[in-house]
Amino acid sequence: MPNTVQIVVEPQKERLILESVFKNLGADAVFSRDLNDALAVFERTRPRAVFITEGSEPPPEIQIRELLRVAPFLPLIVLLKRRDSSRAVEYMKLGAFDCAQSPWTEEEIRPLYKKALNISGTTLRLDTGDPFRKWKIVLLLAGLAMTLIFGFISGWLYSFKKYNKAAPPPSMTELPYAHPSGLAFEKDRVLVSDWYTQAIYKHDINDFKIAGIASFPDSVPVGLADGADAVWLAAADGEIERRMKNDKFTLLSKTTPGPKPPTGACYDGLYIWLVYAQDNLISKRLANDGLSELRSFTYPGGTPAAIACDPRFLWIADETQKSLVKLSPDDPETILSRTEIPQYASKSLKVTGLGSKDGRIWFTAEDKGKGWLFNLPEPK
Amino acid sequence: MKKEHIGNVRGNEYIPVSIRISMEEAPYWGRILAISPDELELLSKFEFKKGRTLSVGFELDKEKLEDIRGAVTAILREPSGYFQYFIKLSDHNQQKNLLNKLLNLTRGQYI
Repeated sequence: MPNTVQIVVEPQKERLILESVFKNLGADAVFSRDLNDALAVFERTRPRAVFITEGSEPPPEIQIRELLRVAPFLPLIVLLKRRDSSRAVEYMKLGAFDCAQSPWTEEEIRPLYKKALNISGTTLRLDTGDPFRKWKIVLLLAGLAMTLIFGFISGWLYSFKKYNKAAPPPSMTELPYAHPSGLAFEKDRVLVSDWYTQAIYKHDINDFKIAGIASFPDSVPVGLADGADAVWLAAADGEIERRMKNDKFTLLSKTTPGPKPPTGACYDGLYIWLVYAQDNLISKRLANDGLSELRSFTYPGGTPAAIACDPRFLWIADETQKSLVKLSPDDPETILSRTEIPQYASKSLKVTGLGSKDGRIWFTAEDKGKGWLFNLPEPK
Repeated sequence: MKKEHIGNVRGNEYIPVSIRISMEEAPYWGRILAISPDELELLSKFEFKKGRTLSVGFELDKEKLEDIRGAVTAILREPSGYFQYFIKLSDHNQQKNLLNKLLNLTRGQYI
């Protein structure tokens, strides 16, 4: 819309001043010498504001009245010759929008010009808000929803992974029989002998469920030693039976290495080690059918309750010292380390079997009339 | 005090007002945008400092009110170069008088 303004001014000198001022303001100024002239060009120029100078003919009061008759909403500004608020207020009462004081400079007229262009006619206020506001809100909501969904799925997956893992096997479990006497291993199973029920129970190593039972009506197993494909079963009568690791534990051989039954037995991959609690003795024997004794050693600790072997160490559960004792197969008379066993906190606990597998030491024990199976990380 | 810009105004519809800042200086002028017993809102192209006491004269309901005094508490400068002034009236009697006039003016409108 052009910034056309009409100026009613008669003297040439004043007109030149105003021409310069409005040119600098960027206005398209149309000059008239008097009211008749102004009205004559008014229809064609359609100005957005009319500036009336004091001193032009007729007086501003009449010019205001006549111009407002033609264009009631047209902003009219009276350019006063001097600052006179009473005249200014009177002109404004008559319908002038505002008045400018002399001297008529660019600085003086600029706010009047700008404001007059702004208020022409009825004020129509366009929505100056962002035209993409609705879309932005939609995108924002969509983003929020995506974030929530993503977060929910991530959280769900995280919790699924975290909480849906297979539960680790319990470190201590109660056995369904009360008199375990020794233990051995078979792939992912733990074999536990029970002297009272005269049987070997096969437990799943993960959940300790019973996977099989082998009964021995003719012998009472008081100890069990683990071999690669056979087990040595120490009976209450002092016999030691070598049996295959099959379902029925088929008897391979049996011998009586001494007058008394051993407290525990183990096989380190090369030799059979027997331990006697009453004599505090450790007996090293060849793994032949007769279990020929190579040498016997004095156990350096308290009272041995059970023994386990692996190619590196001998492990003995010491009932007096309530600990797990580590010995070297080369020199079993020297204790390498002694580690307290937390389960010995129960004073009535009695360890009856020991085994070593994959860096953990396994125990069978009797406590308060119940059988227990537990394991601990191998002590240093 | 934060004041909201009232946007474009139909200047012709507001009450013309003369504004005096001292007895020595010729008065200025502007328009009253809003009037209450406590506060006036003025629009003027003349600049007055915040805190300055102004004495305004205007006609309300065909009655002349002169020398209504108050201090400028807030100023908004419009992009056009005009100023909106918020004048806190200070004279209790004038406030009371103004209240009565406003009550007379608005009587019957809200019943």
